[in-house]
Amino acid sequence: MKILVCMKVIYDGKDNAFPDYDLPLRINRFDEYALEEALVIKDKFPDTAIDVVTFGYSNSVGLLKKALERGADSLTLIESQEELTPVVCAKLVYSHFKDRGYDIIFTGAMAEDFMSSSFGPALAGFFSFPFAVAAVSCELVNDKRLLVRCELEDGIAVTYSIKLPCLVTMQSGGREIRYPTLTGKLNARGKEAFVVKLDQKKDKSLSYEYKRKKAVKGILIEGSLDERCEYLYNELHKRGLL
Amino acid sequence: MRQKFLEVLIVFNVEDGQLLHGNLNFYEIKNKFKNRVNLQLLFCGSNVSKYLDNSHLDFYGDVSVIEDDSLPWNNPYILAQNISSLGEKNFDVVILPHSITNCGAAAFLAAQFSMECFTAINDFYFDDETLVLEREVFGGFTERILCKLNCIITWLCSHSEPCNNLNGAKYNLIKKSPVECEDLCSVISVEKAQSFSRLSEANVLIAVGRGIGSPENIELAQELALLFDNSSIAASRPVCDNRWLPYKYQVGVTGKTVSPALYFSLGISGSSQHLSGMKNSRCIVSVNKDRYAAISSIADYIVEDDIFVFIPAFIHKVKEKKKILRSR
Repeated sequence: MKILVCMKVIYDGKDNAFPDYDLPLRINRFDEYALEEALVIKDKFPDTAIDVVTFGYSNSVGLLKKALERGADSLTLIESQEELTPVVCAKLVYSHFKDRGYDIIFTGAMAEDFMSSSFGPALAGFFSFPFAVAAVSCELVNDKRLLVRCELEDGIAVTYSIKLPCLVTMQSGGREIRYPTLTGKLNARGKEAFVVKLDQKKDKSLSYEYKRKKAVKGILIEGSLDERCEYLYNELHKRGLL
Repeated sequence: MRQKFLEVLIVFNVEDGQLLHGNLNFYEIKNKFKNRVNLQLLFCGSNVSKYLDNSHLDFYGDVSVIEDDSLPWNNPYILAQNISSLGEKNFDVVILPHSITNCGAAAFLAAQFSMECFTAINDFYFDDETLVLEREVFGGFTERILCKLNCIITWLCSHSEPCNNLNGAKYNLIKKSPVECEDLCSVISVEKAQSFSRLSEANVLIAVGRGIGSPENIELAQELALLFDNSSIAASRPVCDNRWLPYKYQVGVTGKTVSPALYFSLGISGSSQHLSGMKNSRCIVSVNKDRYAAISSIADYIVEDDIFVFIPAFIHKVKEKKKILRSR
């Protein structure tokens, strides 16, 4: 069984500072679940090979070594200085990995910075793989199919049976993420990341602007603590809510 | 994008005769493209004819319907395959209402059709041969994308009421899905989440986000909820992921969609997935340390403060006021 896990490293902007490139980095939370799902398959089928690919900053490698410590077999960084769209990233990942014969590709359901939810399905589009999104757990059946439990809109949970090769995007809530073992750490020591340098230029037909909302839509309640409590009480009282 | 009428496809999801994920208003879409647009509508799902028979389709253009009651339409792969079966026609823009399924289908199609894909679009307009798309990214920033490429978008459309007049339109009905993909992806089971009608019945929801800090602090939200009649607590996804509250309390794209009289949010920054589940609330109060948190873009009242400072003081104030009212 050959599995590709796509992981992204993002700036840890908490909730109030973006894009600030001096911020520390962290692994996108949903991608940690993608790796965990691959590792669960490897627990059952130890001859499974897990390749991890990441796209973007050269300083991602240090963080993603954790993936090797947790049990992944190889790590590839596709290095790009440009912020590219998820569809372009997917195309570049496809062009590098299309001949590797993967049975399953796992990605996170979304990246926490841009929240597009589109990289994984676009990668499935380039591979022409059947796919499922927002999965919480997977189970391999007879090496041929994957049983995938997805949590979709309005709390509906659907279990699909998907024929391999396929792609699944993982979300949180299904499994606990494991810590690296001492053996895992020792095994990872000798492994280096493969780095693919790209000279991909941003498409001139697209441009981006980022604007922090200077004005909030509603009323920003100001004053002392007591004044603000009084004001909010009065407003809710007027609306018949209190 | 060519300087001519744009070819735009709008996709509607129908489940058992009901329109899902809000209703895209095609008059509004025409205006957004300054009327330089050829619209084509595609309805797909189960029991679509029932929906169309009960609607009044006042639309003079291409309407296609793919109706197949046996297909798992909530799988993005199946949906994407069916949309692509419309043929070789090159669309400049494809618009789907925003949902998890539609995001997946949109990105898959974008890869197959060599288009770009942008999801969770709050607003868009067409200006100077450029499609301008606006979406929220984290930290309360608005990302504005200026796009001259053909693209597929999912739109966080805010209409909950039907807003299209579908009177008398003629449509091309395809009774069976034209694609054979069931062997590749089939449904084993569908479960509705444990029913928790309190969320949709409550007049007031006190919703907690990651900012609540720990499960013990949820008591503070419960204490606040007790001040209101017909109230309940609710949560954002990270709170449920951390097992601080069961998933039945979750509001958002993967949880419940709610529209209470008052949505009182505590420490919720407001991802687009959460906002799309509660933005139709009649009054929204947000208490957050960051006045520019994304939820402020839709909140009616914003309190920029630590919830552990403001909420105890507010509870005290309300109790004091109620005491005065009772003593009169």
